[in-house]
This record gives sequence, C-alpha cells and structure tokens, in this order.
Amino acid sequence: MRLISLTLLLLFTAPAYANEYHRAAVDRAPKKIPDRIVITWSEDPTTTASVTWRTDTSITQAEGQIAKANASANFTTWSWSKNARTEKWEHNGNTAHFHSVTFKGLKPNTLYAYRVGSGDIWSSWYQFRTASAEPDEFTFIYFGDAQNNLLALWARTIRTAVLDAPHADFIIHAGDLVNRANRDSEWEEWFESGDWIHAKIPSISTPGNHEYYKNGDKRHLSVLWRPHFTLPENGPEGFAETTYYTDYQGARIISLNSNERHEEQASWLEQVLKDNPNKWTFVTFHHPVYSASEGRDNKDLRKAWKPIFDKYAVDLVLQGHDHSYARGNNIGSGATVRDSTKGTVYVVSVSGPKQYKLRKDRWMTRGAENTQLYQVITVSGDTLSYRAMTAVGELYDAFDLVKQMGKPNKLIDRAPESPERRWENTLEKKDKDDKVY
Amino acid sequence: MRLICLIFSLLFTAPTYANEYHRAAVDRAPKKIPDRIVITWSEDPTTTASVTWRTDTSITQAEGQIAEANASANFTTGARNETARTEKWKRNRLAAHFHSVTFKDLKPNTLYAYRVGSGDIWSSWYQFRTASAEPDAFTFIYLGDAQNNLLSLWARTIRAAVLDAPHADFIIHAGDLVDYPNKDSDWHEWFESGNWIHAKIPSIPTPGNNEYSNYQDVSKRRLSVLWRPQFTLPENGPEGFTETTYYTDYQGARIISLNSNERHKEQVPWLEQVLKNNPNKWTFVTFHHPIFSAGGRANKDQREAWKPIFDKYAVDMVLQGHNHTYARGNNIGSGATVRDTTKGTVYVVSVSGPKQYRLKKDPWVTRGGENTQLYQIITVSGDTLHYRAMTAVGELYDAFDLVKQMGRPNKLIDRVPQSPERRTKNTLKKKNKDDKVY
Repeated sequence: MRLISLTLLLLFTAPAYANEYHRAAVDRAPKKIPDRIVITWSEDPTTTASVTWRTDTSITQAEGQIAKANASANFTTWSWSKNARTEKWEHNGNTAHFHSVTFKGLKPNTLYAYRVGSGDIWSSWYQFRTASAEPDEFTFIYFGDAQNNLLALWARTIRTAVLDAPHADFIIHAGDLVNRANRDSEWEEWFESGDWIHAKIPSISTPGNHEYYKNGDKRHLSVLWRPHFTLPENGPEGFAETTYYTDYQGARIISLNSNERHEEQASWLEQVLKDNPNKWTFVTFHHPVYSASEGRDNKDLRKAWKPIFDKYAVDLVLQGHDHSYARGNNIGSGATVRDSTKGTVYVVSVSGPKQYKLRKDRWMTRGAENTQLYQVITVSGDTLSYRAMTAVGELYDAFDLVKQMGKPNKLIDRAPESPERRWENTLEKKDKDDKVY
Repeated sequence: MRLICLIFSLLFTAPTYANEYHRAAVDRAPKKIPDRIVITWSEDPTTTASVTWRTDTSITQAEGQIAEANASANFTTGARNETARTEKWKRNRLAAHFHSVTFKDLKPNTLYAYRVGSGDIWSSWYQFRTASAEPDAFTFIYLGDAQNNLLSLWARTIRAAVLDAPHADFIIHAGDLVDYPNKDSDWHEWFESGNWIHAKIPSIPTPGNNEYSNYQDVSKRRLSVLWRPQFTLPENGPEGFTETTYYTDYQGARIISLNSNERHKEQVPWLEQVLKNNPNKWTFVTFHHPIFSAGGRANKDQREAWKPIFDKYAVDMVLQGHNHTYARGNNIGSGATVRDTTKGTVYVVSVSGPKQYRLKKDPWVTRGGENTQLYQIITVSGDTLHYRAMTAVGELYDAFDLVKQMGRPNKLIDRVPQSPERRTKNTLKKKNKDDKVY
C-alpha cells in the first residue's frame, strides 16, 4: 500500500515543465521599447499609482506620462510627466534597465491613462481608476501558484479570470509566480501571459519559495523581484517589498513573507492589525498555515502568526504552495480541531498547471486536486462574496462572509453540488506514459 | 463664413499620427516565435475555427494543436495536430512566413484550446468556444476605424470593449484597421493592441480604403498585401472578392461583409442571393464606406447599388466606418433627408481610433457624435437585439433595442442617454492654441 502510494505520488507530483515541447517560447531580450510594464501601489491607492518597466541599457533616462482619461484622444494634451528612477540590472551576463515612477497627487475614484517611455519610444496608453477615498464596493482576483509553463498553460487562467471579473480592482499573486527565481525567461513568460492586464490592473504580489534562490547555504530573494515590482516599503526592517500592507476602500491587504524569519514579522503584523481602521482584513503569503498536501507542514509559521490572526479576527488568509485547493474556517489549535469562535477563512489555491495530491484534513470544507483555479472576491458593505472558479470558468467553490458585531463572521456556504475534483475522477490519460503537469 | 469653416475643417481634420512622439513603438520583425495570432472563421463556426500567424522564414513547417479544454492542464494530452498551410510573404526587403490552419470536426458549443508553432517553439494555449448548432443568444463587438496611433490610442478602445463584453462571441472591424495598407509596423501595432484578444475572440474584418494602396486611382487600386496573409476568411463571396466579400452564419444570424472599395454593382447579384436564401432570423451587413455619410463623404454609386437590396430583404443593421464620426439612424427613405417608416434597417457609422472628423448631421441621424472614440456592444437574444455605443472610457453614449415584428419592420425602442451630443466644441479642451488635435 505504501509502495503504491509512493508510486502514485511520484507519478502525480512530477511536473513536466522542463520539457520545452510543453513550454511556450518567448524572446526575453530587453529592447529600447518598454516591456514588462506593471502597475502596483507603493503608496496610497486613492492618490498614487506606481509603474515599473524594463528596457535595454541604452535607455538611461525614462519617464511616465499621466492624464485624466476621457473619450476624446486629445486627453493626452493634458498629460504631465514624471521622471523615472532607473536601476541597472546585471545577472550572469544579462543586463537591463528597470525604470519606475510613482504618480502622485491623483484624484480619488478617477479614470487616468498613463504611458511610459522616453524621446520617441513610448508604450501604449493604459487606463486605470484610482481608489475611492471612502470605503466602497470592490472586487479582486486571487491566484495561487502560477510557477510552471506560464505562457503555455497559466496564461489561460489569468485571461479567464480577468474576463470573469473584468472590472477587478487588483490582483493578488500568492507567491511562486515563477519556478526558478532568477530565470529571466520565466519572468518574461509571466509578463507576456497577462500582457496589458499587468499594466492595467494593479498587482499585489507576495514572494514564494520559488522566488528565493540558494547561494551557498543562504537563501536570497530573486534578483528580479524588487526590480520588477514597486511595492510599499512600510514593512518591518529587512523585509522591504515582501512584507507590507495596502489599504483599499475599507480593506487592509497585508503581504507577509512566509519564506523567512516568521517571528521577526510578528510584532509588525500585530501593530498593523491593532491600528487598523478598515472593516475588512486580508492577509496573503505563500506557505499555508494549514497545509493541503502531504509532508508540507509549516509549524513555525503557524505558531508565530495564527494566534495573531485569531486575536484580530483576520477575515481571509490567501495562500499557495501546495498545488492543490483547500478552504476552511473555524480552525482551532490544530488542523483537526474545530473552534467556532475562530472566523478566519483559510484558502490554499493554485492557478498554474503543476498539481499535487490533496491531503484532506478535517479543517477543509472544500478541496480539489488536478485543477487550475482563480478566485474572485467581492466586498460590499458588511458582506464578502467569494468564488473559486476553474480555468475554464466553472464555479468550483463559493461562500459569503457576513460581518457580525462582536462575533466571528457568519459564513454562508455556497459550494456547488459538483463532486470534489480528485486525480481519479479528472485525470484522463491517453497513454500510460503521457506526461502529467 | 466659408473661410472660417475651411479653417476649422483643416484644424479639426488634420491628424497628427505621423508624429512619432504620439505613436507607441513596436518591434515588427518576425521571429521564430509565432506572433500576430488571430482566430477567424473561414468555414462553419459550429464545427471549425481558423487560426493565422506569422514567423520568420526559417520556420518552413508549422502546425496547430487543438483539444477540448478542461480545468486540468492535462487536457493537452488529448490534443490533435493540424498541419499549417505556409505562405511566403515578401515585400521590399521584408520577408515573413504566414501560416494558417483550419481546425475541423469540432463539437458545437464546446470550449477548446489551441496553440500554434512547431518543434519546440510554441505559442500560448488559447481558449475559445465553438458556436451552438441552434440559434442562441450571442454578443458581439463592432468597431469603426482604428487606423491611427493604434497601439498608443486605439488599444484602450479594444481593451475597454473586451472588458465591457468579456464573453463577446466575435468582433467586427468595419475597415481602416490601419492607416497605410502595406505598412508592416501599422499592422504590428494593430495586433499588439489586442495581443491575446485577437487569438481568443474571432475577428470578422472588412477592408476599408486604407487597406487599399493607390486608392485614388481606381485602375491601380490594390488590396493590402497583408490582408489575405493575415486573415483566413470565408471564400464564399463573388469571384474577384476573395476574403473581402463573404458571409458567416452564427447562432441564428447571418453576418455579411461587403467590399465597399470597388465594383459595388458586381457584388449585387451575390448579395441578393445570400439575402434571399437566408434561413437566419437576424442579418447584419458590414462594410467600410457608409450608405449615408456622417461627414460630407457621399457614396452615391454604392447607395444606389446596395440600399434597395437592404430594404427589400429588411437587413437589420448596417455597420460602417470611414467618416471618423458617430451617427445612427433608421427609417431612411430614398435619400438621407427623407424618412420612411417602412424601412427598418438601422445604419451606424462609428470610429474606434483617435482620428476624428466633423459630423455632418443630416436628418437621418438620430444620435451623432464628434471627437469621441467608441465601441459598440450588440446582444441578440430571441426576437430582441440590444445595442449600446460606449465611449473608450466606458460611458454609455447611445442605445436602442430592436424587436422583430411579424411581417413589419423591426420596432426600435430608443434608449439614448440624456447626455448632450458630443461635438468638437463641447469636448475639445486645448491647453494652448497650437496643441495637436487627434
């Protein structure tokens, strides 16, 4: 029995992404023309927006232009320019310039258009809306690990997600955006998969273990993380642009760095939760507090963070890492103990093709294997609506959370009747040696 | 007065697209990696789909792969291959290979995923759904002239349109997709503007005058050398109009593309046949030059040749471009100034790109607009059609419903918003008097 399990495990967990035949091809060389354009928030989403992009090293000075958008193309007449911060990047003989601007002094809840470039070499104009200054309804997309075969097989997930939630206000990427932290072609795939989506809908990204690489005994954050994303630097010291928070229309979104020094982040986390004027709180990080797959327990992290999530009644914890799907709440001191005083909902999800076996613990209300998923979350007043959708747009899981004065959130389960997706009911193999993703 | 008009007219119609500062930059060189991937229908949308793409000339054999899509990435295990037709393209010193496949024997109303490439060089997998075999509700996007500053300023229109109608079944491009018919970088901008949209949502394009070279000289007029290589379209039109005059049936509607650039009368017998033997409830005709102009650009020959046939067969909607303005009207009689309630066809002129002209507001125009980038969303469901014209920033600009009435012209229920008509004078904010106008 153990042998069979092991065989199955090997069979089902071995990813085939290394095979070029399964990858999509990219030309990752930087050019004079801006690419890898991504919009983020490093400061207040009501009045600022940050944009980061890449060129070759011949572009030494760059700028962003921004204007209020309107239906006539002459809106560009009213644009103003902001000089970019330009950073030289060098790794293993590859070089590029990364540029970033933070547009400031914007009006809340206003449609703007921006472009980036310099001289006669400019990007497209991209439209986006600043956040409302007051709490207001909003929608966001949350993705688990993209990681492998990004342009080949993750791209369909992000495109389907955006077409499902076309007015999403931001996208949370819960780590393992790529497979090899410093492999430039994988990052190129990540950017090309979304193309204009990344430039139009702000990203909130948190690093996974695959955004870390080993140098000797030490693990380091990808040399492409900070150049690619202009993120808030409001975290604890030593966690710049990995541990941070952003407030958006009545919600606080917190990114923790689950890859290192969990306890060091705890006091900052407690402060950020204690002084939180927002009705809703979401925390995202990569390694799950409760694992969904065998042999992937994160005990230190759980001990350091879970009591704080409980104490401040965090609404949702959005995670990745396990390459399976799991959702549950009312979790007590261990994964097998139910505690109805704990309202936090924990989710593990996966958006890319690589899939592991699900280990179904008691904490899980709904689980899945062998399924690419995206999640769409809408917050409106006292109610949050959550949908987990497959990459082909089928509803897979759903619930509402309703705020209750002085009590844990009320969870209204709306999971569909469809059977739980497991390997045995989803894996169609034409030949026994077919690759499994 | 005439002089003032002339000055105004020059001021407001002179496009500034030639200025590189206003363009977005593209790298248009073909590579081994597939680009300009576009999905179209050359045959039945219920069981086929065509895909066209470009590589450099080192790729001499290519293929498409297709599989039913499902939530597990191992759907690719079920993929089958279709060898591409590869066409060498050469112009001046540029060379490329254009490849196309038509996937056949697909199941109706089924989600598929495809990719294109060869060897170890493949595109992304793109998901699309085949048409239902029976009439069924559907939505499409219709775009007037894109033409100028495509990646810079048209891109926002197609992106906003797709995010407004994210499940659109197809996109009609009513001509002047580019400014210079054979300028490869213009086409590259067109493809990059939509990027994966073009590969995922089928396009139904009809050529405009800017898809013709030597347009001014009738005897030397030639379709863009990039039109046929880039789009795999139905070859069911009259002889000599291959891939410009054609029709496609989609879930209870017939969509007809006419070539308004040449030989209008030659297309008439074919048009009449296609309308006479039409089993579909709804009929849409698209072409570039409008039957009734919205900018002082009359197309009399074309009107005399085609309008009586549209009337005779009660075409539901005529979707046009060319004028760089917006105009919509119905109940149009023998001339643009004569109303006739027995004529139910709705005529629309629109523009999706930045170049804008002045509106000539004739009595046929129910709603007009100037200086406005627009997209249109049309939903057909049973006996009702719902139409919305939206600005590039997502504001409702025009709307109506059409309802089928047995043996009578369609009933039009006007749903125009209260907002004032957009004209150059109430929309053009200039910071300095010499500011460029698009």
